[in-house]
Amino acid sequence: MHDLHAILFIAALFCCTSTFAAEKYENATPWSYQRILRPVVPVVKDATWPKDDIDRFILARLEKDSLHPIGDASRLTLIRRASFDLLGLPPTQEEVERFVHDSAPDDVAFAKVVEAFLQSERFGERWARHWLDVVRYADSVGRVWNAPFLYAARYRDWVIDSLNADKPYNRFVAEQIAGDLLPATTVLQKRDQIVGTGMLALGSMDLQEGSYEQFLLDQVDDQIDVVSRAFMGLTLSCARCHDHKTEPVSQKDYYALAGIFHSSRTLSGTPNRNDEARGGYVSAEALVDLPTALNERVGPPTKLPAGVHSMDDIRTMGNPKETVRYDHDPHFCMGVIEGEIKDCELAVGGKVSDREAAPERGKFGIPALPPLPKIPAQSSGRLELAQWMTQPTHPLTSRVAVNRIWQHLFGEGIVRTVDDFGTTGSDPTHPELLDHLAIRFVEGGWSVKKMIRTLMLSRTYRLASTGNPEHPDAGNKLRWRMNPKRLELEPLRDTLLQLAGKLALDRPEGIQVVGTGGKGRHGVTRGLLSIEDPYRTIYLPVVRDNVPELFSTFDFPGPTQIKGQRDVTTVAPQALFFMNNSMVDELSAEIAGKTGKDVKGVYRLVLGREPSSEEVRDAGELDLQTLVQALLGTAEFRYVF
Amino acid sequence: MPTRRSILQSTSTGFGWLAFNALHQQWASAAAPPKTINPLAPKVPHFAAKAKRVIFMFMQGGPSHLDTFDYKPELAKAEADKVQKYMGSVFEFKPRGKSGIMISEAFPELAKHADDLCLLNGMQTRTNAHQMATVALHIGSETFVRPSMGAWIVYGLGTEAEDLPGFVTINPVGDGGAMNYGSAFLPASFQGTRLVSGGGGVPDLSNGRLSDAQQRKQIEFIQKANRKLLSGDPGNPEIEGIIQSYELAYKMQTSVPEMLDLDKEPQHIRDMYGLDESETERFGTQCLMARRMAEKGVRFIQLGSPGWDHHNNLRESLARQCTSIDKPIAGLIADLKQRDMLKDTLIIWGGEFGRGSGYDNEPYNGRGHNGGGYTMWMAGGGVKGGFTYGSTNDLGNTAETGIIGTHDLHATVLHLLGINHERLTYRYAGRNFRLTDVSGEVAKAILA
Repeated sequence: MHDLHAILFIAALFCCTSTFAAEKYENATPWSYQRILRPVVPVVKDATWPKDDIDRFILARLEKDSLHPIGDASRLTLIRRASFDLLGLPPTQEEVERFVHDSAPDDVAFAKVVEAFLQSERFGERWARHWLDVVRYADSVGRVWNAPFLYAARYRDWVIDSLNADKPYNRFVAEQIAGDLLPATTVLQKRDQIVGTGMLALGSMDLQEGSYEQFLLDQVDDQIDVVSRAFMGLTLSCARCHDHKTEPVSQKDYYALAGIFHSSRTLSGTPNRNDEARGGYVSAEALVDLPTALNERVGPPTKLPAGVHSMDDIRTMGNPKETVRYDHDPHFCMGVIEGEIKDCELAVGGKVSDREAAPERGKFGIPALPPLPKIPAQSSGRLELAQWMTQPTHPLTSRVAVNRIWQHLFGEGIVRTVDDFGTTGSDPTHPELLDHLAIRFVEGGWSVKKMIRTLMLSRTYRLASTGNPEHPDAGNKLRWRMNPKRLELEPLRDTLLQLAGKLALDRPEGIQVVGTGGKGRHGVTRGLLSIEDPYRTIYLPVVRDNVPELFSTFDFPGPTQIKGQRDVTTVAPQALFFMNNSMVDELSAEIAGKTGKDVKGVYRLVLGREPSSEEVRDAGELDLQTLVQALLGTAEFRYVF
Repeated sequence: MPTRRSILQSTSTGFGWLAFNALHQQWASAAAPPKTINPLAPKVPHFAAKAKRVIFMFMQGGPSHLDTFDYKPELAKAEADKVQKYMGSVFEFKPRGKSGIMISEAFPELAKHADDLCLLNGMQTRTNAHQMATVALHIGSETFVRPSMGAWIVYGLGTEAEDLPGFVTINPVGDGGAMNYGSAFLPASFQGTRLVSGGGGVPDLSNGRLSDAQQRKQIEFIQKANRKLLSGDPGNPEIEGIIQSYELAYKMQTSVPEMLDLDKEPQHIRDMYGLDESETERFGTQCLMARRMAEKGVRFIQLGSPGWDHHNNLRESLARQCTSIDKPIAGLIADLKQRDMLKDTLIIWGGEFGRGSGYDNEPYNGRGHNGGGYTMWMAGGGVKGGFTYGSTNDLGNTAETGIIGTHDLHATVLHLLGINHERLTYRYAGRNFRLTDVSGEVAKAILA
């Protein structure tokens, strides 16, 4: 980590001193490209309300419109909110009791709750899924030949572990771009960093594309798209065929960036049909073999272990009666390594066959953004890109990151379009607050947990969520109250299992996808875990074009898309799920069984509160299992208030 | 105490296959109270149009246009003269109906409706690979994952089906899979609902444990809780949405099985579709389901027929395939007509591409893939009947006139539904996307 910081520091210095000749750009430079200047914390009239500078920014804006924040949420509401936000699971009854009856002042008592949740391993499982939405995570390549990604889960687990370990965000970013090139002090660290590059290999590609160069350019485009949108909120891939229509980004800039990825080799384990790797569309030869010593070369395996590791391995078995499982190898992962180093020729109109001179890789001159450090002749430039992206003064990386964190806690970003900070994105509702947070984030060592803790201990986070249609800011743009949040698929399903005492907290072992991507019983790629299996939802395989119906019903994002903000829909099939689904039926019976014959116990367990006397009376009309099922279907259960 | 009926009446719109955007997605720039929006509520098209719904029959594999709808006497001559590997039609063509359009003997029943058909002989697609061409036909792109045509149409027009999905696909084909009816970056409520013929598909439609009365009591309990929550939190219209979704879900438990229950159809209707004959049962069932859905207001209905990839044994295999759909389609056209629904139902028929003019490899009795020129046809909903548009060259492998590419086809379908394809856009990743990307020309000549 020290090494990395040193490198980043040097990179930052270097960036400040080097300049490139500026190109002419027709489009205006958006606010988000501008340097972050430390905003002055505003003075507020009601000095007793704020607990943190965050609150001062919020309150000052409200006071400008003569508005006031609503009252605080009750401790009962607050612990449920915190638990779902951090763990994706309800608090246990003991946790609720302890907090509600804690004689310590609210600030102290709540800080203890937040701290305990942040230390839980469930935290990483909850927050990793937010990130996986952004990086189009899937367990298969999708498209024409839907081959399985045998080692995508390794990247998924890397995200979970990175979050639990509170890996600094700048390092989290750098490892995904250039983990193989970053210095490491131990071999374990080196292996860990390389797994991070799996993010670049998760794209949905057409493995049967006949032109290999076309395939490579498509892959590079996917990588530019995900890197620019996930980390910077910029849509740079729009400049593939022409200068960007709305951003000050030229086609030359695009190919300067493309040269970096074009000089890298992507090892997804699912090679294009013209790739040099053998093994068919599923091939261990197209994976990264993790080093077992620090000085070991990183590349595809030179020798394959025994077992089933490729499509060819399965084909040689003839037509087996049983489903053939792939063997897991602890040394394999998806990732990116250095390739043949060469700049990428500009493709006129995006056409592979119509090429012009290649711009020097890394030499892009997007206005206001710092230039990239000079790329050595024998390097792809991914290391320099990672350094550039994570320098403390980069105007976008920290802004985009804190905005994503804010969104997951407050329901809506300060910039609503979390993946688009460009001209077409929405303006920040609180621009100074955003910059304030970005600076605090960087100064706090890019600690995600620290940022989450800060946000949650603000008074703004602790507000009640009760709405008011007559309020002048009924849409809550100014944050006078908390937004109620719909429970997404994962916390919803995990909670059902948890309440029934069925949730398994371990990770499924081995490779949980089968198939080759072809046709027929053994060809079609599928996951081996269904929604009935007791694992947390994040561990269920996501096979592109074969996502479980339940996922789509509850707004799981299409796994080919970069989607930092999920849709929230209310459709009848959701109600049908609660009314009739056999899993809900069984789990309701289990939950009812755990609560004795006690209506109050059911309310405590399912909704985390005592029922009113009217509710007790009404509940008496239903048998206990039917009551549990009913409560699971209520809006109260499906929202976090 | 409010009743179920009074609650349903208390909302301003019908709730179709109900869906709401989240409260938090609405306020964008407004300080005004957010409005509850049902994205599937019927929407007014850009301009008046005849077609209100689409039935898209997809023939997977690439049906041979040269042996069905594209009459090529020169090709027969070339075969007789043993020019290269050319192969004339394996079926005889005849002029049909008053219009005299040419249709081969492979479709005797459908040919009786020739005066309703609009043959598109100048179709073209960019690739000769099944998967890519299939996906392109469905989503408009062979290189990127995009929303499907049905998803775009439901996004643009909503649905008139009260208690049914707006986009249904029956027995979808394997190539391209869920991408063919997916919503990509559009909200998931616009994606197609997959059904299998003979019922089934919509999950969780019945309860094995509770009687209807018990379930009703359970729902009343849920609704009371939800209404109480809403009264304490009136600024959260999403709760209203959840209340509605339960009422609709309850209704769907009977309405969906009812719609899918073909036993309700009288024998003479079943006969029209060939439901009781083994060759036509499969596609006949799909066609009859399609009619029932069309009647209920489902916006986009897709039917799939596999097995049109005839590299060999073309005569027998193609004959069998054509037979399997001939009577069902003829039945559907006649049935829609007698219900006065053909005029506002657009039927689209075709595969991902056509087939080549020459013999394929051994045993030299089939044809290879041909994307450079082939035939699709439309009927009903605002297209000219008894009309042939476009043509291929004499040998039938290259479109020469009235060329309709993928984007042109989509532009035309949208136009027939009253949608300007350049104005049906969705903002994603910082730009406005279209089904037709940056091109697409409406085939104005086929408009009735």
